[in-house]
Amino acid sequence: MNDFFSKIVELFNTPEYIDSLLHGFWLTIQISYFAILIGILLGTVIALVGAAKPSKWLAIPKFICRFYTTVIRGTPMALQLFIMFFVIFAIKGFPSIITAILAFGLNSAAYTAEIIRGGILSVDKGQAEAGMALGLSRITIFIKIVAPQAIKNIIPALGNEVITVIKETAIVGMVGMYDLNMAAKDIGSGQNMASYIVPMFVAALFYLAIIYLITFAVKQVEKNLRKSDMKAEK
Amino acid sequence: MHKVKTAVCFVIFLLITVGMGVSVFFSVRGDTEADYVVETNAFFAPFEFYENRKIVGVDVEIVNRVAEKMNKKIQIKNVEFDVIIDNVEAGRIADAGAAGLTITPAREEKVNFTIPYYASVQYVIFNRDAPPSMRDDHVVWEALTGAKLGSQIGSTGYIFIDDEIKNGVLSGTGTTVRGIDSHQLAADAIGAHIIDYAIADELAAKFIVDKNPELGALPLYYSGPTRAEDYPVEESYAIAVNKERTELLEVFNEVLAEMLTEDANGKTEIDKLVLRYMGLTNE
Repeated sequence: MNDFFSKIVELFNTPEYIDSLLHGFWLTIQISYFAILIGILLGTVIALVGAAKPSKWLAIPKFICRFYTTVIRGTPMALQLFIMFFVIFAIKGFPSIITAILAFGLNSAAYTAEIIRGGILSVDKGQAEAGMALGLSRITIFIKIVAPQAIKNIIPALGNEVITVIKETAIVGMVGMYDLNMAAKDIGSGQNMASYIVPMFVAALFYLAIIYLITFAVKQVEKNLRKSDMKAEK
Repeated sequence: MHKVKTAVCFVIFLLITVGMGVSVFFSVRGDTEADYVVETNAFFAPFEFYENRKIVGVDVEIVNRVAEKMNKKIQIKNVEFDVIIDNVEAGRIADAGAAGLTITPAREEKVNFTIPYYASVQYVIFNRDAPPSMRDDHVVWEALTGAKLGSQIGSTGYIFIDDEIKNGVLSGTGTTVRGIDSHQLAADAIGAHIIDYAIADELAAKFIVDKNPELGALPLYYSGPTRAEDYPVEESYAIAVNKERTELLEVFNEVLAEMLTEDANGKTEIDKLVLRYMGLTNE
């Protein structure tokens, strides 16, 4: 145990190790940020298509969206990453960070779509019917009545999805990218500390720190939304 | 007031996105201009390892020499060890693999190998509190009977163990093998009592044992008729080249032939590089 702590001290006292961890951390942030962005944008589109009123024009898009979420949610992320790297984007010189962003973004989109769809469905049908009775258009009903209420239900689950994506990016080491997890492996490898245990602990601390920050931010947003809720009730 | 707040949030979000986009753009720029791609697994000092996040080592020196000679840009890419041969065979994302790859018949069916440039021996890594029974200065396969073994998945250590268990001296003895992500993790797995012994290439094993006083390593031998006739589990490293890139293979062979020429002291350039990257000399 004493050895464990002295190794932690050694790690924090070696500038190269800290530098490696920070570089890895930055790649993790880059991939997660854009993956989440793609996830939210594409996820919203998929959710809207899924929740729209059935019509003959939407039959095929609806089917594609359902198929997409089924396949993405039904297969492991590690396999999707592998397929993206070694089949779909198996192009010489194609930047791996873009492939990784797309892989995680497309994966996240399927989950985000379900979160948003759930949020929309959680708003009571009577609300839309009331809007219709007042003679509002479907678009107005959605923007003014359904969406503001749905967002309150979406935010907590979306925060959860953001956290999941950040942690899931740890598998990009599988294709040789130098993320936080890979930095820990590098520091733990033979020519450096020659033991994975301590660097892995420290990398875990980095993940914990960023995720704690995000949890905090999501809580603040939630609080803000609820605040307007209270006012309205008064 | 509410509108202002939303606008400020939106502007901040846009700035962050643009900033991140620029940073990704800069990290991508260098990636796209290589004529050839050589794959490696950068956790195999002294042949390839990360030094300040750059891959360096003996194999990297060889590749650089080839790039210089051909006057082409060669990119070195880090991937998992067990996909290298398949990627080189397919030739779509990689033209060659330089990762201390041992020549084996199965691999030779898929790729062309250069001339061998380094001979290595397999080592057994063990906990000093529970060493396998030794014969003088080495361990024979029979000493591992019934043990839980581990090795980097896809490495020759793993192939050797698998062979011995399936149809060699260890067959039917209840010996098991576990493929682990890297040599290092295999060594950590001994400490965690997941496996009893790890098998790794000589230099990798020595690096690990050097930094972990509780671990020991000894060469692995096939047992001969008498103790003196035991012979080591040997292998030779070569570079794997896609079967259609014969021009690349030729230059690799030329460069390796040059680097394997002995100087006046009987030392080759490869030997010197190995020592240098192990941190033993400053040459």
